[in-house]
Amino acid sequence: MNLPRHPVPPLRWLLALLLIAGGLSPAPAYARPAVPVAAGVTASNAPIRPDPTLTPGDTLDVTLEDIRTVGYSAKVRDVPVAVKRQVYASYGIAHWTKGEYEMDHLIPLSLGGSNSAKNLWPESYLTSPWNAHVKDALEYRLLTLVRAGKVDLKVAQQEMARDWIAAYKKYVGPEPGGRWGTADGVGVNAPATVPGLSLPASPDRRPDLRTGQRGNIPAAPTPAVAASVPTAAGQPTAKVWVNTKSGVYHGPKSRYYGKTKQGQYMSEAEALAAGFHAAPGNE
Amino acid sequence: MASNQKLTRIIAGRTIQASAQEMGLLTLTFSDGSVMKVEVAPSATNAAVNAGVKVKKVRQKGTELDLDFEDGTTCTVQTAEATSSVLLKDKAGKLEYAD
Repeated sequence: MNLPRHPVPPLRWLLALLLIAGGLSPAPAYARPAVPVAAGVTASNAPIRPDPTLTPGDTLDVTLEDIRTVGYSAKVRDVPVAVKRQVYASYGIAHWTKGEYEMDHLIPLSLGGSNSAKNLWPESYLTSPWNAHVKDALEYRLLTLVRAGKVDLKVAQQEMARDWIAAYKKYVGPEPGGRWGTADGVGVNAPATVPGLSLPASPDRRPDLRTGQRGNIPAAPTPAVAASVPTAAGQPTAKVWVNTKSGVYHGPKSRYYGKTKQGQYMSEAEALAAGFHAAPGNE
Repeated sequence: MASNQKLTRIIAGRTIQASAQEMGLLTLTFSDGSVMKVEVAPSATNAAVNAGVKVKKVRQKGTELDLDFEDGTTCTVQTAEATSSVLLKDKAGKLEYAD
């Protein structure tokens, strides 16, 4: 008995079924409304502040002692890729290339910010003068102040959530103009404008922020650059690379020098003062 | 489902002493005094965790958190969000892990 042969469904039908099945996956408990993309918005002219309805800010139930612990940020899980994609999509960003955006924690992890989508937004590296590099400078500054007991942790969290640019102008300088927010000598190297708050002048430690790049120092130093930097061992002013997530710093001879995903250059003295510690066998 | 290696490294081998769920918060107390709090989805009904079981592995994907125990059982928890729902502190109240 000959049975009619059932034709194999065309490939496009199978693809359509897969797409439909994918769309039926359960929505996350925190449903972020999608924001239509404004025409002409790119990484170069993206908003410099997050949408407060999408990213109001969120914190973990942590104390000042927790964030003072070196390596605190390393105890927090990395943001899953799926969550990052969800956040990009909610901001109407369908495509992006490496180096355009940072998936920023509005209230930074280092100040007790959480990984919730409520605390995440795609922050451009390319806008000027306000961009992800500038906010990183503010975060480092505020962390130093909070750890030193000069600024209350909750106040720092609230100010970051409310308006990070206003917080920058309050704690760093009126505008990022050059190194570490200084512009013609105004900024962090000048006394802070917080009433009653007396801060010592901080040494210039950050790369140039004007260009929107991580300074003129390449993230991965060439051998020539590394050779010109004095070794860190026993030299308080030599540059080390601080892994700001783990709290460990590495000397120029380390394979991690300039290479970790989160980090920055600073002198060994500054690293020690900020509570970071040398990697075992650090050179 | 993918293993949450960071959390597994910390709590593998710990024994559940007690568990309680109230107002969207699941609290697991371990015999070493550490406490793990998990914000759970409001509509989820998570099975109670038996006392005395020892954690073997933690798996996590999206809003599903699976605790695998050495006795072969698994406790599945529906978290409130894909991130920022789990907090682990040691007996002194010091943070050990947050997601």
